[in-house]
Amino acid sequence: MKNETVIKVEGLSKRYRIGLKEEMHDSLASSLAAFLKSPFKSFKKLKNLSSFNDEGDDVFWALKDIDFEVKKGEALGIIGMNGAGKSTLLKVLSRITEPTNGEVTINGRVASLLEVGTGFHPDLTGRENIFLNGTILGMTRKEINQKMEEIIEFSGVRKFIDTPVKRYSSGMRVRLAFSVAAHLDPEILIIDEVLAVGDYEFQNKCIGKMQDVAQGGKTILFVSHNMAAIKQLCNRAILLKKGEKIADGTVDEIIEVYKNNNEAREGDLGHIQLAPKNELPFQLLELSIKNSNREIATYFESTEKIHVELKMRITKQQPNYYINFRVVNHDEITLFVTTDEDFSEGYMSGTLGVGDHGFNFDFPSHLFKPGKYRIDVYMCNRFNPLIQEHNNILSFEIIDSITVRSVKQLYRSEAIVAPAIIWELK
Amino acid sequence: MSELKIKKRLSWQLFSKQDFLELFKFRDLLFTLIKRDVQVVYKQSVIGFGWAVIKPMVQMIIFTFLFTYIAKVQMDDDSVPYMVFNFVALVPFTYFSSALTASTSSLISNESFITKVYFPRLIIPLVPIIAKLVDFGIAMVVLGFMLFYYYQTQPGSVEINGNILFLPLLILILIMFSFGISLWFSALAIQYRDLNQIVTFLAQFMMYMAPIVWPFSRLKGITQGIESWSGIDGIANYFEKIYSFFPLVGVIEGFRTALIGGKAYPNMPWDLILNGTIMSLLILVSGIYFFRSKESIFADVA
Repeated sequence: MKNETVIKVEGLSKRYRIGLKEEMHDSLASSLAAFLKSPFKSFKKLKNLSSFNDEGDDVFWALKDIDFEVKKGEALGIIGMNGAGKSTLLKVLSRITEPTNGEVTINGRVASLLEVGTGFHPDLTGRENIFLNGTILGMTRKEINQKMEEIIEFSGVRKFIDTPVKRYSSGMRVRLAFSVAAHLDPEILIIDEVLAVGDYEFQNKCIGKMQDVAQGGKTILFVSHNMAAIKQLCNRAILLKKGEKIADGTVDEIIEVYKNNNEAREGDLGHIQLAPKNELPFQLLELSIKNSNREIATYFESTEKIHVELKMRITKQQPNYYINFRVVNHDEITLFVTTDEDFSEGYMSGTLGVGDHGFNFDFPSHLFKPGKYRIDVYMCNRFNPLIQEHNNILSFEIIDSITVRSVKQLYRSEAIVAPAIIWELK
Repeated sequence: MSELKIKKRLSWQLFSKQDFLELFKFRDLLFTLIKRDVQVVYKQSVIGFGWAVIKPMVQMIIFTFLFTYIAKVQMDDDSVPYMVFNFVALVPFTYFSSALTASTSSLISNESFITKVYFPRLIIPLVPIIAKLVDFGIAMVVLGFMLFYYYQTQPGSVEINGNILFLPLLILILIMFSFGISLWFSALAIQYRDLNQIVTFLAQFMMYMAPIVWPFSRLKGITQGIESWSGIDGIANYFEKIYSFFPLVGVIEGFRTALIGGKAYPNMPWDLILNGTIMSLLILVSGIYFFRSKESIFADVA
């Protein structure tokens, strides 16, 4: 019965209510009146969290009319930007939240891993937490007892198994949690990016375990930002955008659609033009990031060079001007800083006269790990405070679906950069 | 292979046979969570389970001092020491108030499960209701020693009688009432956090409203006082009738009859117990329905 449908999603929609902007009060009297009225307002606001009488502008559709089917033994990747509805979809499928419309039919025992270590209690020992976590994930005590040895062995924290979990390092906690999850024996496994944690060796083990699951005829639904992981685990993918399913096909097709689709999304282009301010002597006017074809982009392959074009204006000449350009990763770690002094004598901006000027430069390819990065630009004067500060002026995302090493990239979570290094055998 | 349909639940589909089966399927989770609750409360504490005894004992000592020396309470029968009279009622009440407080905040403190995994949500408020029975059991043992001491040293103060066989029934009513209210409160508290504040003084209010520090016979005096003050004929009876539906009254008076007995408490107050049972069942059933109707939004409002 290979072609049996195990998950059937029909017209699935989920609506949320989002908060409206708070009113501001500028007088004591109106603040006092608001204070007295606030219990009624708060009550209405809290009540509205669960009721949808009207279609106001505070209503938000996290999922809109989603249809798809998953056959037995398929591994389906769910791709989409932040806020596309991936997590909501998984929450509906794992019955955490109820859909507003539509229905899902599931055939088989489901285990969903939306988080590693759900329900871990810091005061209980590792062994007690295995029971707790296991039963929460739907195992019986008998099953856990049978698999206890295996779970402890897999986690590699045997020495500490009777120690309260609060004394564990975060890595140990994750290892223990994942081993419990890895020993669930569901027919359908729903996973949400839980692989983004843990050390290299352990992640390696987890991927292996998950591949075993996938090859054992189990059905997998997998959400990740990591295209390499999706490619490795899944044989089919769907793409979500603003709560709607916009594509369904093989992993390669969908990754291609994802890349192309995202370059044109509004509000987050790889280009920005700033209104000039007359009072500033030295200012940024325009910044673009472009791909190898010189098209404006926000999504790049890790093999691609990122080309930067920058325009600025000088209204008062000064020899101490310089531009500080930095790239910051998701964890607020600055990856590198570059200035117009690099590889030149003195700051180039300082030698320029009044007028508009432009700079171009490239980031090297093979530098970034897959993920989101932001750009900060500071317009500076060497001996004075900052003239202009642009934090998070543009952002871009690196995806890695091409390189040979992309799969192995998964195991390098602790590394910050990913330069291409080729080992030569001597 | 079982087929599962996920869709918006209609209000008349609140409880099906499948839901009961599912609740049964998750019994291991219930046990594990109860075990966790029991284990965790007294972890890293020197006295440990001793606290289950100390809390009601200290309260009893304070009340005894307060109501026998400072504000003297008129007792029906001086043969029963105030300490015994008070502690017999405090033990079930302490269970009720601690179970209610813990259960009301249970959904909030277990928010991380609710937003991450599926299981029948009814389990969460049920856990403290059962877990607090351990404390209750310990306090009952201490109460037993105390009763035995008075039985030995002060003949006539405490008498062992056959009504003690009804104790499990009284405990069952107590549990039903505690669980019923907790279902209402926990389902409301996850959306309106005010309930966490309300529940603490509600418990206190109930303690003085129930005949714990004062004997039940004083009720007549109070209701008649209201009647003469308001000038409405028969209002005293009316109040007494309403009061008898307060489940803690039947339970507490029942406890006293079962454990103290003697000429002070010769007969089981069956009318109070019956009314209390009706009320508890009503609250419990409506609580289950209310909880189930709110269940689907827990993950969204938590």
